[in-house]
Amino acid sequence: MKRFKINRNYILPAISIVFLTMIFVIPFFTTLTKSFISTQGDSTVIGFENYRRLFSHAFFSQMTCNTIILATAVPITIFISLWIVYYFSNNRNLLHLVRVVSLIPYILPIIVYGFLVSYVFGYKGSANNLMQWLNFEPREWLANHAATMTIIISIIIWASFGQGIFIFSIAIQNLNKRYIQLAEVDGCSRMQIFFKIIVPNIGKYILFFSISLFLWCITGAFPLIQILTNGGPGYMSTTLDYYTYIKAFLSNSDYGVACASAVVQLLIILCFFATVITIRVIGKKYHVAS
Amino acid sequence: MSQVRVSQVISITIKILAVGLILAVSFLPFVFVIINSFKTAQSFIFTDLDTEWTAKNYTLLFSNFDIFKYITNTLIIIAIVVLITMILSYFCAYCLYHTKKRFRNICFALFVFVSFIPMPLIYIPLYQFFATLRLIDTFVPLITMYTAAALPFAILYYSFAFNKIPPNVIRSAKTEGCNSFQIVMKIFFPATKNITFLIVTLIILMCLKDFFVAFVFAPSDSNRTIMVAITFILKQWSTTNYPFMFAVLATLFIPIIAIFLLIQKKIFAGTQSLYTEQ
Repeated sequence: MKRFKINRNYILPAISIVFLTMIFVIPFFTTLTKSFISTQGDSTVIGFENYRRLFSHAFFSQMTCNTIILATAVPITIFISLWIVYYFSNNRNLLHLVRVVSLIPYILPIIVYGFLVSYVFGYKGSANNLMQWLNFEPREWLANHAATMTIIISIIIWASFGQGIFIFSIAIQNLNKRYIQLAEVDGCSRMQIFFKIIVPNIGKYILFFSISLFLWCITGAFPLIQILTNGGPGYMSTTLDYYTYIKAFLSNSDYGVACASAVVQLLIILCFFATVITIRVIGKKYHVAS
Repeated sequence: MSQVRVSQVISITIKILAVGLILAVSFLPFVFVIINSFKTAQSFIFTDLDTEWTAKNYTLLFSNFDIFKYITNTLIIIAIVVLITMILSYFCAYCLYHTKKRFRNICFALFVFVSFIPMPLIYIPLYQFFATLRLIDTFVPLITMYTAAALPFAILYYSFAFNKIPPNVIRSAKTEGCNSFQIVMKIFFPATKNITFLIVTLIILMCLKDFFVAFVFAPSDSNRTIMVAITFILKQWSTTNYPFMFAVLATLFIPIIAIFLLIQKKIFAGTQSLYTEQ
């Protein structure tokens, strides 16, 4: 009988696949199933009871809105960084300088921004000093819902535009220079070159950056909210990922509801993916640049 | 003729302004923090008093809090994660290089899928899993999760880099009589030096920047990483003493910025060799 021989090239990849499956894939599906199971004492299947409890929370719509509002940082960041890269693209040294300098906000840990901004918009902070200098009343910025959301969005933009510049500068370097030169010969303005040549041709880089940034906006705002407002006042500035943490580990914890709110985040992300894929498919079908 | 000059002057001015704005956004807040960290709390709030410059905030930080313990914790975690990830990913990518294309593509698809799974969707079952093993509040969950997060992109980057090595070089080395160990040491290793540097930097950055995993899985005082420890310290102190907060933040970000500025050339060389399409 022939002995079954394992090709040793498959051993290490198999080990790493098993490891990643244990850490990522199995917990992922466990979360999905746990959202349908009662975790208070007995573990019975209770259908959509956890979701009903989550949806009947008085601030659920507020939390979902907050989560989605944070995602407005994505298009703004992409536009700013793409425009900066295009603006400096014909000067190599300047582009490199801009790239290095703008990466500094990206490499810094997010809690630095949290504490810096908590000073600037605190009651005795710079923003209120400015208000007093302009003869306005000082106010509690972080107790105001709109102000808090704007602040968090601007922190996300500030912390991630360097990454965008980094990715898009590589993309524009890989772009064939002939396209831009030909367009210039044909008499395109800079605006037209930007929207009709640059943006369509580096679509996959924009796609990658927008997906990773979107994921970060939806699921990664935890440290900012923890430092700035603790989700308060009340549940005013709580996002879904912060609520997941509250429900999982803080007072009257309920893993079922926490898993349900994690699944709602997954649904938001899937909606975004579906939109992106639809745009890509339609664009390809009708030969529209996308 | 003069009109051309005017428009040139305007465009140069706009360019300088833009560079200035980017420099201001990236540098000014941190310069502000560093300057104000040397003031006392009184002279910072009441600006009409004479400012007295002092390094008291820094001595307060290093004498009252065991900051070196937290730094050691972070460094231990980073060292173990880097060691495991680099060895595993390097040889894993080398093995994948020799497997069938179909298997390789399935692996890559899994790695990409895994690296897009967000944290809130996995941490509750993982927390329960580590709790049943009584491993919460140790370094083990942190090391496991950081390694798992770093492994996919390390393998992907190495695979990209290996695919750029011309196959003729490897074939001719084999005809000359190299064994596979020599091929690894003399062809693959030198060709991926920049990528190795880039991956190590990215892993260190990831472990250093992470707040959430360390906050959830190792919250007790003796096991805190530097980020979590600083958050706990500042949450208690910052509302009354802003210059102390600035001093803590400055000790946090000055080393990071300095090291980044020192090594930025190598990082960009690594990305250049990774992403440039031939």
